[in-house]
Amino acid sequence: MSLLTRTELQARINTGKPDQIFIDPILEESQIGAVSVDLRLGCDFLVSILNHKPSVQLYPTDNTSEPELFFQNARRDLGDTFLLHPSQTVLATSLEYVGLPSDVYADVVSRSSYHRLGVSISSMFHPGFRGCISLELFNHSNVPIELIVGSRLVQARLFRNEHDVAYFQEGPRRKYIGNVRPTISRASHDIDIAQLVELSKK
Amino acid sequence: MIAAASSRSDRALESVLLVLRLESKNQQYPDTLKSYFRTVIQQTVDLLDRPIEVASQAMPEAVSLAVKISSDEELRELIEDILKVDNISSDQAEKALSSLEASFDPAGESAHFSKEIYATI
Amino acid sequence: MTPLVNLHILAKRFTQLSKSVYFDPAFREFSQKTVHAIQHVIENADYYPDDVIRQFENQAWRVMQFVRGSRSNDAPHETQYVLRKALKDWIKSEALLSSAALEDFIFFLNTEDIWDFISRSLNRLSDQKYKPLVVRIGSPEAFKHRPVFCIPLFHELGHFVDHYYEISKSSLLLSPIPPTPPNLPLQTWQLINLHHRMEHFADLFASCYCGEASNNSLLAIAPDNPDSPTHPSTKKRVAVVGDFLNGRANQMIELLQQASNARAKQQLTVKFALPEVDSAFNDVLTYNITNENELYGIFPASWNYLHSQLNTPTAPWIDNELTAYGVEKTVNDLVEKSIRNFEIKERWSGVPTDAN
Repeated sequence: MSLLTRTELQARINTGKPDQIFIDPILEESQIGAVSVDLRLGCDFLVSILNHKPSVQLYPTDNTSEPELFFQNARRDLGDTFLLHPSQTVLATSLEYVGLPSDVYADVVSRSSYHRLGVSISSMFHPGFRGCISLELFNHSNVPIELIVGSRLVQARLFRNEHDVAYFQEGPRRKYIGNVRPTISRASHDIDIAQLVELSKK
Repeated sequence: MIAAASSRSDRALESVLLVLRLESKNQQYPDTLKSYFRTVIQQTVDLLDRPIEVASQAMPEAVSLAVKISSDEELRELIEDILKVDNISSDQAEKALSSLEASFDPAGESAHFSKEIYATI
Repeated sequence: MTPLVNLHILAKRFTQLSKSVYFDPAFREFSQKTVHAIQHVIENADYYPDDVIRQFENQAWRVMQFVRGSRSNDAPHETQYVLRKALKDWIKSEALLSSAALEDFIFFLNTEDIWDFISRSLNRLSDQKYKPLVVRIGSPEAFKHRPVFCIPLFHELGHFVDHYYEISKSSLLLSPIPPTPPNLPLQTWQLINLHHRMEHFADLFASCYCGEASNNSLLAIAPDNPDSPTHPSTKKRVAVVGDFLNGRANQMIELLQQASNARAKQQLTVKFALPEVDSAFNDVLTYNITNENELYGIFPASWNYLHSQLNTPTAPWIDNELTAYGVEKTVNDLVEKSIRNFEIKERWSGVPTDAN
């Protein structure tokens, strides 16, 4: 497994070939760094909200405690600000649509400029991934932070595997493919949840 | 399914009707509205007389009114009579207003037309 | 509820609506100026005739829906972005776009010319030169993220442009209708002809941008409709568009082109280019739209791709578990993101970048 460097990244990004690393749009060449690619904050947000139910239930007993009822849509245009309040969870995506080939996976972390402000993000994207990179934003600081749509919020480090992984062809149908806006957690769709609930009843 | 008509078209003649209503009551109203009304009805008559020459310059309201009066001789005469005078009488205005308001909507007769009628369109 | 009382209520309501932090600045200005006009009428109620005040009040009520819709989070943003470009082809004024997310299967575009009315009727108001074009776009909320299914909006845009210039109506003056059938009032006959010409114009307009997809969406909704007082038969509509796209002579096209030339100073011309989306979409990747012709063309191209995959799935990402809903969602998402990427690049390229 090896970390792709600038030369390798430039040789594989948006070539149009089957093994390309697809990233669209790349607004500035400078986004491709020595060992990473900067990605920008996208336009759509799901903002966590309180409602009269006491908790999010992963195995809801009725349809009033499902995760989607605890989030609200918001949309901003390029250049607009989005306020991330302390201890608030917001789901966002990258501005870029990403397609990873079967021999590459990506670690996505917040850029240090934002990490130092209290915004930390850490995700992993499997070979074959398709979609806008999901960003779970959380403000660890005690002051609101004004994020700007289109700013370079995260960086993706891309690693080449020795062997191809047909991630999306193996196993059960993957939950998140081709998403272009943030999606609510589908943790409740995990196949083990129903089994665990049954176990707890015994 | 699809709502075809724009509100602008349905309301194209609102201001013309408004002026006729004001005139029928002998009410004073702004000169700008008076001047607008005169321009519309003059263009309307010009459109009917010289459509090819006038079509490119006429206001949309004049086009709407011209179409309306092209199939209504009585209304056309009323409009032309209004154009001939500087001051519209309340009687003239009342007649033109009634005639203009009584527009026919065939949507209510949708069941009655044969294929042969549409074949010529 | 007298007009004056209603105007007080309207002034407060406009002010309230414009207080959102995320309000479009152009609409904020529109609201503020309209409130100013309302207050002017209230202060000059003794000067303006009751009928003028009543008319103004009616228009203010109608235009409030536009203002309300400008704050909506439910607009099909990407579709509206493309519609705005198509609108600019025909009407150069900057449009203030507002949206209505409907629970019904309805599409519309309409406008309110309250400021035209103000400029000719409220002569004591100083702000006479302000004449914005406000447009309200209505579409099913369920289609907010389904641009392929919003193709009917191009037909509605055609009606909008038609009414703006009164193209179909002027065609009645330039190209007389066939003789009135016996036992049918002339006005009725004229109205039927007018409605049919309006529908043909809107169909042709839509096909300039969406090609056959505009017809295909019509066939999906109303495959066998016969002639009616308000619409030509589906068969006739499809034939006229087919003739237009294939460059065949057609009397209806000619008379509408003549009227369009006279009123809008331009003719209906094909604007779209069909991009080859299969390769990208088969790989669940966005298509890189390179110009405006492809921007329009992605609608018919995607319509074709979607329906061919629904009929005979060949894309590698479609398996037995994926429902038709999953297929259309994926395709619509890819189209939406492809359009958005074009918009982002367009906006970015218009901004000077930091040399550092």
